[in-house]
Amino acid sequence: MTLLAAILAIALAADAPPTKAVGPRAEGEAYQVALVPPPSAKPGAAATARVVVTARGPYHVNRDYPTSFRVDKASTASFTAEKLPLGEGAERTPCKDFPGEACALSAPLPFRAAASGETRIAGVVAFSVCNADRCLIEKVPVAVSVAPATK
Amino acid sequence: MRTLLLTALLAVAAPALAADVGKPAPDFTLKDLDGKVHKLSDYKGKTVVLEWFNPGCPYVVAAHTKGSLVDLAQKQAKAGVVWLAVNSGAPGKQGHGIEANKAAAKSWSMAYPILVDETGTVGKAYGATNTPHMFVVSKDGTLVYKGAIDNSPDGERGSPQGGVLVEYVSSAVGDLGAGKPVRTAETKAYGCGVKYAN
Repeated sequence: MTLLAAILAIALAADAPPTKAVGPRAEGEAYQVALVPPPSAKPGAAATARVVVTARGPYHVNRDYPTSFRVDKASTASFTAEKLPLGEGAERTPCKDFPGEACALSAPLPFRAAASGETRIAGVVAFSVCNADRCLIEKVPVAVSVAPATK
Repeated sequence: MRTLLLTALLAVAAPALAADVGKPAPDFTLKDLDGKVHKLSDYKGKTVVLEWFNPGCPYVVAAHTKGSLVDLAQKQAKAGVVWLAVNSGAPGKQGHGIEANKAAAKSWSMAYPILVDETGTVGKAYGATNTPHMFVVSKDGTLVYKGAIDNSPDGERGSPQGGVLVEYVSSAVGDLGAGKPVRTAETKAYGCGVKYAN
């Protein structure tokens, strides 16, 4: 029975789709998330990327939820903390159809570039979007590379 | 005379907009998922915590799986506190239904009753706007706290405002137990909206 289970597990693993690569953008039915890097970053210097959360369809960005970016170990960029709040200093785009609510949030993500070569920024954006009936809490991994500035 | 009569009728029919801290907690009688009747005033002499509940709400899920509601009720029960969840979701709305609530209770090891308030009468009498929305009633039946379970509006204790986690309900119950006034008697609840019929 144990052998059968092991064979089945191997067979299922072989048929499993490859893990989806994490990129600078991700989307679901109710949202889009983008990690927007600066064009380049001077090695070892401070720079700023942006995290943009956009609600889709009947959803808006939940202003009460503490939107954040949790740094992934794949990052070669340095951050001031492992988990960075994104609410303060964020620009919010008002919804056209839902007065008083924001349909997009664009938050600065300060980091320090790697001492040499390309800088990798990777992490998980936590946010919430709501429609009239329900709220969703999402945790979406994103990653992007920043080229070293030549000047 | 007719106006007076109408006013009197409205006063009887309409529940208070929201229960006030420092005033008697609105009494209610509700059945739990097994049909057992619970009357708030029957618990006089004990501290009672009311937790507005919706098993489909992601904040409730977070609070019960990672956050402040994981084992708080169990701990408080050992100290003699009565803990009651209340679901004011209307039929057809998220989180309504005996089976869905029983499944959540089992999954999250909730050893306390979930009361069914599908008309929303009790929820509205308390001014419950969110799930979770917490209310603490003292032994003499006075409402002494209403608001959030804690100050981390992600539901999982991961983003406390000001950087330090404050468990408001624990704190209120602790203050009552020590015979002190509740330090923080009212906070803004966070979470999903209560799924009332209207």
